[in-house]
Amino acid sequence: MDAPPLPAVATIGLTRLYGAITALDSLDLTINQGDLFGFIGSNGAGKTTTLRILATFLAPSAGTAKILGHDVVQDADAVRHVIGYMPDFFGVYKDMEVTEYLDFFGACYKIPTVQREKTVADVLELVGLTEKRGAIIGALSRGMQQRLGLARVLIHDPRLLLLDEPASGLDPRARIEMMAILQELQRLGKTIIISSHILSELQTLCNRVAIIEKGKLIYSGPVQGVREQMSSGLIYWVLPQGNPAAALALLQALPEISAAEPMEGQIKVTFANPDTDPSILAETLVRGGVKFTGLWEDELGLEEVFLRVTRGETQ
Amino acid sequence: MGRGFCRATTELKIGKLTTFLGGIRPVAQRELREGARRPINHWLRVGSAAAGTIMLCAIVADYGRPAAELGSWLFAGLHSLLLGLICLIVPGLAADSIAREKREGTLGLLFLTPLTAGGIVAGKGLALAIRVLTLWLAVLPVLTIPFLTGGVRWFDALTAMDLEFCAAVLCLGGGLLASSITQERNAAFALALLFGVAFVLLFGWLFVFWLLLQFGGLAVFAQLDWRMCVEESAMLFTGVSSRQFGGWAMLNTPTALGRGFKSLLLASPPVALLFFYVIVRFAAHRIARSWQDRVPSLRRERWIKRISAPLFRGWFARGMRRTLDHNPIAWLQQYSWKARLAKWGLCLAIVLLEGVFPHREWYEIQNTQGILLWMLAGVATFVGVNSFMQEKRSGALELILITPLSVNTIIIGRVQGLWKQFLPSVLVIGICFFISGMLSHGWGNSSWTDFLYISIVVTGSFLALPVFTTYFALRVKNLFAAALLTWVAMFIAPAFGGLAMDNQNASDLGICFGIFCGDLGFALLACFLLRHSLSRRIYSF
Repeated sequence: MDAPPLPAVATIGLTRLYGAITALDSLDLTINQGDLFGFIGSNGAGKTTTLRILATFLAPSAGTAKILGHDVVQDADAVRHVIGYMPDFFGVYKDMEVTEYLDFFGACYKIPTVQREKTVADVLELVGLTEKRGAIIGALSRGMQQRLGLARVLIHDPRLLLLDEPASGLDPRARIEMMAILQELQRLGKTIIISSHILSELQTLCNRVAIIEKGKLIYSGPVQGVREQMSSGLIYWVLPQGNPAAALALLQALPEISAAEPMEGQIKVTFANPDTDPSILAETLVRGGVKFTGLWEDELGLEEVFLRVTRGETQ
Repeated sequence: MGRGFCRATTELKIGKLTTFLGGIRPVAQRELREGARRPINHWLRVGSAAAGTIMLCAIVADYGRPAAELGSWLFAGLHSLLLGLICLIVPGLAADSIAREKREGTLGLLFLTPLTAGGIVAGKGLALAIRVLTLWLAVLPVLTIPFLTGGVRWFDALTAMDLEFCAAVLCLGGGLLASSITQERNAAFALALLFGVAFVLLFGWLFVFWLLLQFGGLAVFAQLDWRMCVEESAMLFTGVSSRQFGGWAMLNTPTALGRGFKSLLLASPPVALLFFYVIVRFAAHRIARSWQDRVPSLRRERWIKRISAPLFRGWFARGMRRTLDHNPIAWLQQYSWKARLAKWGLCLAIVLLEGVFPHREWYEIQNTQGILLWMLAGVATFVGVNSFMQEKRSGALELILITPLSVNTIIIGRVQGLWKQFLPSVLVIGICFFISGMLSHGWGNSSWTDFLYISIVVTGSFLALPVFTTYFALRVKNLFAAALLTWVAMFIAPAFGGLAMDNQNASDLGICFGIFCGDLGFALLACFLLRHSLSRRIYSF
């Protein structure tokens, strides 16, 4: 029988104190290999602290963190070989050329000279910067510098990417392109942890998310799971065919329903009791002879989920 | 009608001045508030007072003259120290004041308000002047000691204050001018020091010329060369001749020279202030013209690319690739054309200065090399401190620290890079020293011994300086403070070794060896602390 694969990240009781402030409070987190994992939290919630600990940049005050089986404190050198960390700042040498910059970091990762040239060309192509290979970094736009940061992260072909706000400050097209690159990287087998405030994008991009507030983990699991967990089961939508007024009149007459209101050709129905069987809606409409083409439960967006589970408290 | 016309003209002039200086108060207020929160200002005050006290103790410990002259010697020493500190600190304080705003883009925000360019520059100048005044006040209690000891006259005290005031105003002007010209930190600091020292020297020469003109008329100039003027102005400014401190009281006589001197003392502060006003106007004009974003000139880019291309491209590229493979951090110190320009430009400057400075006597040759070595040490300190600081600020250091490069590789790479950067300049000074000694003096036994001693001491300092700069650049937030601390270490380390050997009644060679060992010992200690800090990721932002 095969042993289960090592988790990409496993933290147990991870704590980090800054003086009297507890930035991370006993964080228990497991991220599987191949996940595209969204890390969500308000400003000052502890996301960057977690990523910096995982990147071996910061030592935890208590608890342990392992990356692909390597402890981030005891075995930091091994961890640095398997991770690629992109902080929320560029960290570029503005007077260097794009290839010089990547060549420098390639040398830092001890990639042999011959292989380095090919690797630099490959990562530049992957992030779409091949045409800018000879440009001075200071002259690049913010989006391009962000892409260069991603190219730097990929230069040594890490298995785990830690990306802190990779899409912040990018225009919509650049954001979409960045997300496409991340999906491609996931397809190539990389595990990606991405911290972001743009929840609508994480919702479509990530298969799992963690929500953190005041250094404490509030939720960790599949995106759909948190939606279902947060869903009240009270609101349903009906899409009537033809005259919506007849459907509205039928639904408003139901005693189980506290409110039914038309909205842009649809009807929003709110049950008084979440335990009510929603099939009552279909039965009523069919019995009343009103045709409808859709009936579904109101689905919460990640932003709404985030607002419901957090209180917006920062440290 | 005449009186009315005069009044109207005066009102118009005052009105123009008020418009030019519009908004001086909010800028000065903001600068003072910000400055009050910066620990560097506090430590500069403490450091200046401490330097004064150390100077006082050093003079007393080494004093072998009649007790009646002690006060005047102490006063001369402190006054010289203050002048030195003014020339060093004041341009440094002012250098980044406008340049930083340009770099960070906040200057544009100020221009979007009703503030005027003149108001911004003058506001900054006013705040800096107040800061300089507090520095002077910090040293004042130490300055009272020579008075209590006796031998210092009020005329001396007022003359010293007058000259210090003028030097401070001129250095402040130099700093503001440099800050308005460039937005790059390094260039601003280098230009500020250059302008500050140049203005003070120019002022000193004019002072001496004017005095000599009063004394002996135009005939005196025929007998003077510029080096003599430097010596005379230095003597006049510090009150110290090569033999003894005479003070300025000897000029307080009813002769033509005495009258001329007093009139110059009275005229100097207004002249310095007028000069400062002209600089403020010029700086205001500069920033008013340059605060808006400009598209980088393609022609300039192409020109830079052409002149910065290395001569032997293939050989150069291979060398750089070898360095990159061997130690990427050492490569960082050499990859840019600016670094290469600084490296070889410095060598050229040294050769030029060797040609300008006197090489007639053996002591002149030694003095010249001494001055050049101090200048080189200043540049090396600044470059060393700044290179690590820039990486800290941009975040590149964090990215380097998460690569598998070991801490030792990072430290060795950085120090090695700095050694490579300044080794040619040190060698040029050494070769010039040797050749000028051969040509002008002829090498005797004593010259060889001097050369050997100087070589040992310089080698120790050259090896230790990059380690100190790297350590302080990592641990200290402020560039200026890091540079000052490096220099403190550069004085303490050799003094420690030298004194230890002196206590053992060692020979001169032994003392030089002690200095060398002191430098290396402290450098090793700094290396150990540096390793500890980097391993634990302890550094200041």
